[in-house]
Amino acid sequence: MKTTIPYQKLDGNQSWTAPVTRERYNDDLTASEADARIQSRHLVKNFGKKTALNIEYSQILGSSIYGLVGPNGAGKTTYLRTLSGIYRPDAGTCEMDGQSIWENPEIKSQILFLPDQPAFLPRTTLLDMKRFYQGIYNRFNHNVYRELLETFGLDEKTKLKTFSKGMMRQAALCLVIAAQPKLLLLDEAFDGLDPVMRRALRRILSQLILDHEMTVVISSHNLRELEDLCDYVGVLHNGNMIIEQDLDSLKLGICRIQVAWTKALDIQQLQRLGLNIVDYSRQGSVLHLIISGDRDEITHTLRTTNPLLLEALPLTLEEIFLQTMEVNGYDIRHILG
Amino acid sequence: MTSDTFLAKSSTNLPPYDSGKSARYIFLRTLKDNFPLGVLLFALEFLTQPFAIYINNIFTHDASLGNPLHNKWSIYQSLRSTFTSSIVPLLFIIGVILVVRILGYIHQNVQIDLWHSLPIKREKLFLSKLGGLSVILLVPHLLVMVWSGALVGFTGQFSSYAKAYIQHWTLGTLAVIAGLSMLIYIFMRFGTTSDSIIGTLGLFVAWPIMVLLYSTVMIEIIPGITFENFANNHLFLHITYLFSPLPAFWTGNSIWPYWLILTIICIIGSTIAYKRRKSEYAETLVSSHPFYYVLRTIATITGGLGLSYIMGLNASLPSALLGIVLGSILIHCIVEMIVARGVKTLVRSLIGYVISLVILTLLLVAVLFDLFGFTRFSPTPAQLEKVIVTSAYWDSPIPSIKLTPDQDAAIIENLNEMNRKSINSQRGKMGAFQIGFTPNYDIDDKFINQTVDLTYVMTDGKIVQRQFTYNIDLSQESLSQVVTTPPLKYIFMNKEILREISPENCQLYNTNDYYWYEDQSDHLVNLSQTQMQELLNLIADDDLERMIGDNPEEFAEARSEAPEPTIISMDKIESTEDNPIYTLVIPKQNIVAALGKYAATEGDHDIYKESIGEYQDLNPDPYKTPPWGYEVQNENDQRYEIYIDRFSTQAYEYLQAINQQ
Repeated sequence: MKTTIPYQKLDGNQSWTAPVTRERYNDDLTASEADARIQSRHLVKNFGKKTALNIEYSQILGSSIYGLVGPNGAGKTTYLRTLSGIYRPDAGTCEMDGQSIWENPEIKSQILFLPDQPAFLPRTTLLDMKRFYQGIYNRFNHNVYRELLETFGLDEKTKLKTFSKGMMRQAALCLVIAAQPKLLLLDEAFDGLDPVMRRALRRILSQLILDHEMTVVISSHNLRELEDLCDYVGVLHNGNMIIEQDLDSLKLGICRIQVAWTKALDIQQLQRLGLNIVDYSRQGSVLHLIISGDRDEITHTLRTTNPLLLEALPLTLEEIFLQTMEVNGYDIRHILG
Repeated sequence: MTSDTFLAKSSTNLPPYDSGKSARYIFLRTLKDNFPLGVLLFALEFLTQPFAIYINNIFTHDASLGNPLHNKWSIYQSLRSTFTSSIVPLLFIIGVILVVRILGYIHQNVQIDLWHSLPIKREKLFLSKLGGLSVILLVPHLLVMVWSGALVGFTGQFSSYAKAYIQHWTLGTLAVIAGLSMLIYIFMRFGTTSDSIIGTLGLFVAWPIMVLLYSTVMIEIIPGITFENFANNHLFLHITYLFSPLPAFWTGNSIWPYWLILTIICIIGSTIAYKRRKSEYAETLVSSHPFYYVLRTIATITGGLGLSYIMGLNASLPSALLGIVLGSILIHCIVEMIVARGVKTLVRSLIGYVISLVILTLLLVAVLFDLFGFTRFSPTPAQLEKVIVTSAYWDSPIPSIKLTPDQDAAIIENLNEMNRKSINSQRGKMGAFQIGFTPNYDIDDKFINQTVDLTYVMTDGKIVQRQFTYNIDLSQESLSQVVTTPPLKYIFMNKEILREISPENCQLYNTNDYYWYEDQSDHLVNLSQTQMQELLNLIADDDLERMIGDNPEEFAEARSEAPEPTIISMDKIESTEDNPIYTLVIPKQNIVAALGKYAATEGDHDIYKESIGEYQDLNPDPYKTPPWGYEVQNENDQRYEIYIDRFSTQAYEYLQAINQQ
């Protein structure tokens, strides 16, 4: 009978748990500051005595899709509301193209925010709302609006309050996309959309970035949705940006290893080899390791121990996220079900 | 979808973003979204004023009243009264609805996401919406005013009526605007719409009620004090008017420059508050807001005063104190639970309750010991220009009399001494007045006119009013010293007037039927002039009282509803078929004629009227006021009822017209 030792939590690598700082950023992220479209520095947002957001440094590159990940209460929506100019930062700055977003109509005219619960004027139809957006945003594109309307199959003359949650979200997407912002902020964008519509939205977003050099920020719990879509990802935890990295680097920076020896090595022996072991479990003679670092370097190091079995496997974004949050002492499995 | 479509727009050269265009759009959008309410306001105002007046004019037109002056005056009166009673409340209610519809978004998280993410500065967004609100509210209102004004003005040349109506309209409109401006400011400060409405009601309603109750308690406890003391001079009431523009307007205490300034301050304050307001403040409770603590304290004190007044009036000190504690804790808890949406904060809020109770206790102690000094007022002859003595009964036929320090120094001093005795007789331990909310007099007298208004006209121009009711013992002891002149005798002992009345002008009615005065002829009792003279003598000599029984509290009250001005009734005597009740109706002109030689001048009477709060609006020339203008009759035997009140200028003009026919 095979015995299974559950994953053991180790002290997290400092680079994983500490908030992202400007100094760290240069090390972690390949992009330069000059490419950053959105930059937040020492950003603090308090709700009474509670600090909802405390981001040392964050940047979002232009013409990209940025996934904002975090458990409930991590500060995702607060961050998006701050980026859209709804919330005024209590400290620090939040800038787009080098200009403060707060109370800056010129900048805000290039930003559109689609909240988790879309907001419409009371007692209106989609047609009314389209006229409203047309009246405010001079980039509003009627043709784009029409095409999105057809894609989603919505009737613009029906009262919005009769729409289902998914239809309301589709209606809101028609409006914010047709307004052609430079920065589109989507809070839980895929929530309430069926699989077909999700696929359509992904396609639309990709196309917008290609055609319009639009920057999209999506917050979501659905890590699988973000995995195939995002170029960058930021992980918020208790208001801190604990990870902000391009997705490829993130995936390459951590890997799962299955390894077996004729005479098993213990964890301390492996750590003495310089391996940054984040987590481990044992199934019979096979040791499952999650190790932070470059995959090639890790396998090269492990080969020096003459294993019978050595296999390196990539982690999904969800697994990376789980690992990261667990290292921080957060029961993310419970949140994600 | 093709990428060509998206690319097509991105290649277009767009003009730079213009937030002014967005502001204009939001202004127009506000107008469009709320246009139906504007139409509703216009329709309701139109139905209330021009249409109603037109219809009323058709169905009530009397050929005998064909005098255009009279019609114009009637239209003016109708416009004025409907504006005060209907249009002002309507405008305010529609205004509140508009404020909630247009600015309510700041209290909703979802709507905040929409509005505050728009590319427009906060103050511009606020002012655009406020502009839309103002146009929707004021344009229909203005149109109806023009229409109504035309009804008055175009019946003849543009006269003082149209001017007076426009002045009245402006005052009322300013009061509403000031009230709504305060609401908007409170809207900016509170987290939810319901809390904002509660806060506004607290300010508009709780404070005036508290002041009214506190004034009433003072009136009940402190001898000599009447409501007029508060209506004219009292600090509390003035503060009430500062907070409550509509009650100020309704009570004729219009302070339009203040309202104008208040409106400007509130709008500027609201704009700043909105600009600084955090979006996340939406949907948060107000229970920790300092402004709320003030409102809760006011409401708690009001509750304590209210219940103690109900329980303590004509009762004992313990029940009054119980009412204070129960009423205040009840209101405190209700307010706290409503605002905090639960009982979680109730225990913690008891600290606030204790503070409220301490303030309430101090306020009551101030009344009991008269710390405001009402009873210390006793002017020396050097301070006085004159004293106007008037029967306190509002419809008394007895004219005011005037006492001057030069001629009547002894009488004035006797009056003051009598007042001091009356005050001191009601002091208890440590000089405090009684808290049992007993009346400030203990009268067991049969004549109403023993309650007297004293209007002190001071040499420095100030006017102070006091009211005393002299009990029978006091009068027996000192009345003889005071009542040394015929006018004072009439004031204090009105039965004497019966000796001056001619019997042929008297009629006697059987008042078994409560509605006797609606059809008097069925209830008329025929008496010969000799019999009537005998009856008058009997009443004057008190023999009737002896004849009727041992315990009547007769001659209790003159009936204002009667078609003839003065009635002395015996309505507390049990009526049977064998022993019917009779009411003696005495034509007022006879009384006036009998007492005219002692009457004060119209100017003196006008000072008295002013001291009790009349003549506020149009400030008529008192010497144009028709003397005692209750009822007039022209040469065609047409009779009209005219009342001396704020319309007295119009009454005078009308009378002039009648006299010239």
